[in-house]
Amino acid sequence: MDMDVSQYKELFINEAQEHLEALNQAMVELEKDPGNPDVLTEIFRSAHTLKGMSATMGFDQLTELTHEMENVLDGLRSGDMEASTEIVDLLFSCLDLLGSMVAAIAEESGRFVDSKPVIDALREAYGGGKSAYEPRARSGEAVELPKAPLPGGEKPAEAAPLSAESAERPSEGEREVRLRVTLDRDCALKSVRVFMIFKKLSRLGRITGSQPSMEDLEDEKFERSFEVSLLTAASEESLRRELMTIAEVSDVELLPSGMEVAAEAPEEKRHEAAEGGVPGADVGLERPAAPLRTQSVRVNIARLDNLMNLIGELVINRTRLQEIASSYNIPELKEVLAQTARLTAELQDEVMKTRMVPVDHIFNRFPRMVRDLAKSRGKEIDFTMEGRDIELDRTILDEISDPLMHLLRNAVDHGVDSPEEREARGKPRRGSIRLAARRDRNYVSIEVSDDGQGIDERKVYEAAVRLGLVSPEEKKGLSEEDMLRLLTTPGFSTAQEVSGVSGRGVGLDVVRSKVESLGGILVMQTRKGEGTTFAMKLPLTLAIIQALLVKAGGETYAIPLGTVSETAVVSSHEIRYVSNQEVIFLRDETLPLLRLTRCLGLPDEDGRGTFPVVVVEVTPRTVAIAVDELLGQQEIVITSLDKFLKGIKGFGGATILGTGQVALILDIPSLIS
Amino acid sequence: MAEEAKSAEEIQLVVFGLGREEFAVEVSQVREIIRMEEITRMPKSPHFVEGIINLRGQIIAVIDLAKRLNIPSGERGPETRIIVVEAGEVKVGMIVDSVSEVLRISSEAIEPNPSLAADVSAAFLQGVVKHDNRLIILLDLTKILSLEEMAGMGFQ
Repeated sequence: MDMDVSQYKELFINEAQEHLEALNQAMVELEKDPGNPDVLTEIFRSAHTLKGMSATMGFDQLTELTHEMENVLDGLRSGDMEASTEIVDLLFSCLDLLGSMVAAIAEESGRFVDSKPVIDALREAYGGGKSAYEPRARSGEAVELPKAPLPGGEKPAEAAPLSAESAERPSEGEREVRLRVTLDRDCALKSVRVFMIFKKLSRLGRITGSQPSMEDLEDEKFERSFEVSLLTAASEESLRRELMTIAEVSDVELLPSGMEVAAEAPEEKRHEAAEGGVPGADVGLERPAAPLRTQSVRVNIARLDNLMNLIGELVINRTRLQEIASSYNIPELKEVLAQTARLTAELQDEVMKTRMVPVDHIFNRFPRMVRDLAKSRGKEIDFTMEGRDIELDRTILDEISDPLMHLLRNAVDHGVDSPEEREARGKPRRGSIRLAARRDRNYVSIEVSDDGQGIDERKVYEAAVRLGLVSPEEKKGLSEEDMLRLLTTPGFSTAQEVSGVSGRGVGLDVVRSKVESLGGILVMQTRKGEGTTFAMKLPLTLAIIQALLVKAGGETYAIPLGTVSETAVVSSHEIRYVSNQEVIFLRDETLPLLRLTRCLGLPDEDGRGTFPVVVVEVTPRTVAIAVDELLGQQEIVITSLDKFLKGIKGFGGATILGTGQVALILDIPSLIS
Repeated sequence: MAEEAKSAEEIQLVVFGLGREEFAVEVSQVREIIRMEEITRMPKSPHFVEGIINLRGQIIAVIDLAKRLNIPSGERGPETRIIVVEAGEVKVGMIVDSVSEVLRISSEAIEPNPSLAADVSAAFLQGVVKHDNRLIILLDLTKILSLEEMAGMGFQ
């Protein structure tokens, strides 16, 4: 049995990234409040866990760097060192380096990250008085961990009973040893740890069983400790010592054992377990054994998307069932189907909700970004965030990350004035930037505000006149709306640099077009001397639907799946005429046949022997629509059509396909009416 | 021109060629100028609507300006451009034969009486600019893109 290594790696990377994010945030806190012991403890804990995880996975470079970082942190915690700007900067660069190492692992690029300068700087910072990192004697082998099969030889470990009933017999010089291994309380990646322990033990002897089973151990179905028995010639002390070298093993206890009692052992064990002596019950003595309840689980996005697709198909099948129910007129079936319809709608709704992600997902890296930027610009800025738990569809969230970064950068660069300017203006030296998410009935508003000088209307006006964007005879007063329109004109910013006006427009055109493409709007408020606020008002969820993509007259069209009841292939000699209307027979039903090309006024592709039809049901009509080709089912994002085209009937909007191509979404009811 | 810039009478025009004539729109209405790209046809739309394109995530309509003005156009080629304009609440791309320059002129140079431009319906014109022996027709975008106008074109 091979251990699923990629899974561990993924887990490691995810957790490492989370720890790094937490470290970054805590470090920003620390800089604000250098003496805060809680923050320091938090930093220390994260760093320690990160070190342990890295050691387990055999990422020595990561382990070494975190070890050096820990030494510095230790100095801070003990009060030997001070969280000066230099130290904080050093720790930040250390975090960046760790981040790129983790990234290198994730990419599997084998990219070399040079950690020496930072390590030297860290060592110098704590004066080298503490232990420098030395890789553990065998840690090199841990690197192989990913490829190594489960130890225990040919014998499947999960089947191993905790007894000597197995074929394993002690050979000369061997005896059975039972060990209880206890892991650190905050041990991350317990299953990996277990793997390490087993691997080590399998070199020292033959593992005969475990309690709980190997399978449960792998699934982390234990609290802190578990038992292993093995046949070994190694001394008990050396076993203990070897295991204790594994990171995050807090204790190794030798349990009474021996061949003569082995036969009884399982009974005893089971009994113990039944008495509530679950593995890790010893932990229960230290603190009340509160069952670990998981509040959330990680789900791969692809899986969520797949779920969404399956629901789409469920909806089609439901529609088909409803069709059958009505054609056979079975009241009971109709009743059940009405229920089913309600349930599928709820299901769809719930799945949409699972796509919602708290804005903190993208917010959490901003404190660090603002801090670095402010520092490089010589500005003093207090950055605050509000509404971090507000949720948005993950697609929208992904899309607004860059625009938000633009807005924050602008706020630091051009919004907040320099400490000197602020003092001269009678304002506190430290400026402030506020990032706030707020839920407003049907949309989420994300605002970036600064308390700088505001946008100088006159300068914007002058630049606009110079660029010919505003004719000079126009009134001098610009509304906020006018200003925003000018600022978001592509190229406006470069012109400003030339004219020396603050480069407020940097990327603002991109911000606006992104927000608008998501169905939102960008608004701006600015007050001279008081500051500026940019707000993105975004829809809660994107209008995402399942659609059937078809081809007609050379173009691709999307038919919302909700209206589709089935597809079929029809040959042209099956076409009949009923009062001059083309019809086809499908499952004893006569359906009017509409050719999509004709409906849309496109040239017909004549003389085809067979062609696909899409059966759509728009109560009270069911119609077969002939298309040139069926392309398949897909989830699409609806983009509404510009005012210019809205008057054209037959289309519910458009969507951008994976290729960047635009496809129109057919509005079946208006098309067939 | 630099001296004239100080007088508050200067305007800038984007000049482009279409068919046998030179046209212009005010720079303040132009959002960007892009190369010709693949256009998705928009069925059931007026004949001058070429289709729709994806402009960095935004879907906008593209019109064949020559058809809109009911004049002959040159062949599509490497010089063909789409001028993205915004007037009122609509943003539309206009296909033109070529874009030649951005011209600064005095607003006095615009002759409001467009009787000279015989080929194009007077309804679409804002005026005619005479510049260095050239005759540049200044278009009124609000008219060209107006929805009422389109309704009049047999919009369904």
